[in-house]
Amino acid sequence: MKNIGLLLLCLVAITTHSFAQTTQANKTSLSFSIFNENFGLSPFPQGNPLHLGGTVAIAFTKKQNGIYRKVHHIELGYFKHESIFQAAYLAWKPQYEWQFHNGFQLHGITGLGYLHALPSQTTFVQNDGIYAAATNLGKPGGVASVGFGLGYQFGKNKETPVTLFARQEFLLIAPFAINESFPLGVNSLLKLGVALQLF
Amino acid sequence: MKITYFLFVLTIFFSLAACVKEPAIVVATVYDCENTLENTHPKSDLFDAFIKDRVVDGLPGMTMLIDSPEGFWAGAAGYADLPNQIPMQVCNISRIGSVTKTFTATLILQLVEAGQLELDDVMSQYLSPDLANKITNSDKITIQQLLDHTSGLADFFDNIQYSLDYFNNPSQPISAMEELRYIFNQPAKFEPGTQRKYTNINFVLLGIIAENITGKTGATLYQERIFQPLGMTNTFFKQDTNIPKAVVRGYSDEEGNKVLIDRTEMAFAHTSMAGGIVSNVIDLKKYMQAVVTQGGGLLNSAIVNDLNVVLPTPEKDATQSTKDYSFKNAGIGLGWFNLKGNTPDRNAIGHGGSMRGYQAFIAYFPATKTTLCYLVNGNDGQLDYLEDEMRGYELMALLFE
Repeated sequence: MKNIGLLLLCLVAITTHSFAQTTQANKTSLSFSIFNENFGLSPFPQGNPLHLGGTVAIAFTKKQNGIYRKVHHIELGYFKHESIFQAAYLAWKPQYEWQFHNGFQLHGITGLGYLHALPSQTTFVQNDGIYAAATNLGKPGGVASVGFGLGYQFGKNKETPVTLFARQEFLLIAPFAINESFPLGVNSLLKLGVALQLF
Repeated sequence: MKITYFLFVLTIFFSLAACVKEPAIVVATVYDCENTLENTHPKSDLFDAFIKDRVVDGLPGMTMLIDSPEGFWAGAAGYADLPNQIPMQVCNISRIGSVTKTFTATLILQLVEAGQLELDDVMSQYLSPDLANKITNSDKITIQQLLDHTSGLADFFDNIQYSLDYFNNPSQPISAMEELRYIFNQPAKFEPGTQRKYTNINFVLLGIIAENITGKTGATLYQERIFQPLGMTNTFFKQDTNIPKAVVRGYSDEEGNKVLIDRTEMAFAHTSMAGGIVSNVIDLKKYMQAVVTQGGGLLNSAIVNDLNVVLPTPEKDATQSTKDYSFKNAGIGLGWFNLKGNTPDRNAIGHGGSMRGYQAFIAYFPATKTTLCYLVNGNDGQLDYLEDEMRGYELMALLFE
């Protein structure tokens, strides 16, 4: 998977020979993505089922300098990890993006936010010596993320271009959602998404 | 308008997040089983009260059996299935975890008695060269060292990749070969015979060795050599993840706060001969008594007297309890723990088992000819603590005071 990632980066670099100089400061976009989540660093461990999740994010262009721009995302995400747990998060994610003249785009993204982990099955609590199903409000936690990705912008000369992107992200979740004896969990998210420039 | 739209999306997401899988509705008859045994022990009321108290303390359900010259008692408390509030019955079946290892040890010792292998043989003699080459010290580690956990092999539980795979795909069965892959070419923890450390992989290998020598599967070996001769009609070895409906549900206190979650599926992922048997306390009593009796249907030689004889190791023995329990582990012999009571006449031979959602324990006290078996359908967190306290301190008082 690492090799494929490097190959894609090289392809983008080779095909990119001139840079766009359009001004996109103060633009706002809305993006949606679906992703597969896993524990560990591998986005698709062999033989594992898909753990699907999704995000919706609103992004504001903060800084623009030639092909480079800095974008701030406010992202809301959700995923379900088998019968183990499910989580929803809200994160601020600054993205560092290079938008090339030929439509290709490279980006790195970091993030910090709040993650709420919930069990994905009914839980039972003892009351008067008998266990009974009980509402479980889950467990609060922090989430930090780092990722990299690439994309392609369609209709770059139009007023509201559309960008398709693929991104590999890693989440650090603390405390670990399952067992308090582990202080930290590392999750891998491979995202496919679309960003729609609104205005 | 933008804010309203964003709040709408936010609401949708958190509504999704609040969805949990509801437990299946199960009719109580699924757990119906036959128990024709009569309680004759004079302390039966005390024993009944004891297990009920343990459930009030926090165990979801348990079955226990005590058989001594004074009489017989078997009881159940709590629930086999929490969401459907189905009471536990004495004859209900449950995962027995590492108590399975004693069954595998019995198979190996039967092969020793039959002259098909010797305790001093090195394990590589009974493994394919391809497999033996990937296991550190396979040409040095003896069968005895696998049985008494002095092999020095790494355990698959210690491999982070194992944990990632297990939690990424919790209902996927993990075969013996897959468990072995996690220790391929892993460095030894210590030189064989120099220390003792409880290691699951020792019994994964012993299971493979028994299968290789006999040409039969573990399920067939257990059935032909142990379950059938002893009439253990409610005991079987699971090598797939289909969960029989009659198995009591297993609950885990993952957060250590007595909030339980059903982890039956995860428990059934382990299918090796280190932990794959399902049984009940009635069958386990038959087995425990047959093991310790020479000619009792399982082992015919004087080897039964050596089952829990612990050979000293020059360095550390990590199988000995470090806590000041009144009933504690004092090392492992030929697959069986040497258990020390608070007085010498309360010493025992036995083995415990713990896996996600389940705990088990069987023991025999030779001085008083007492057999004890219990099964609990919960583990982790505070449930582990409750079981430790029960076994470590309360059992001595219950049985002997």
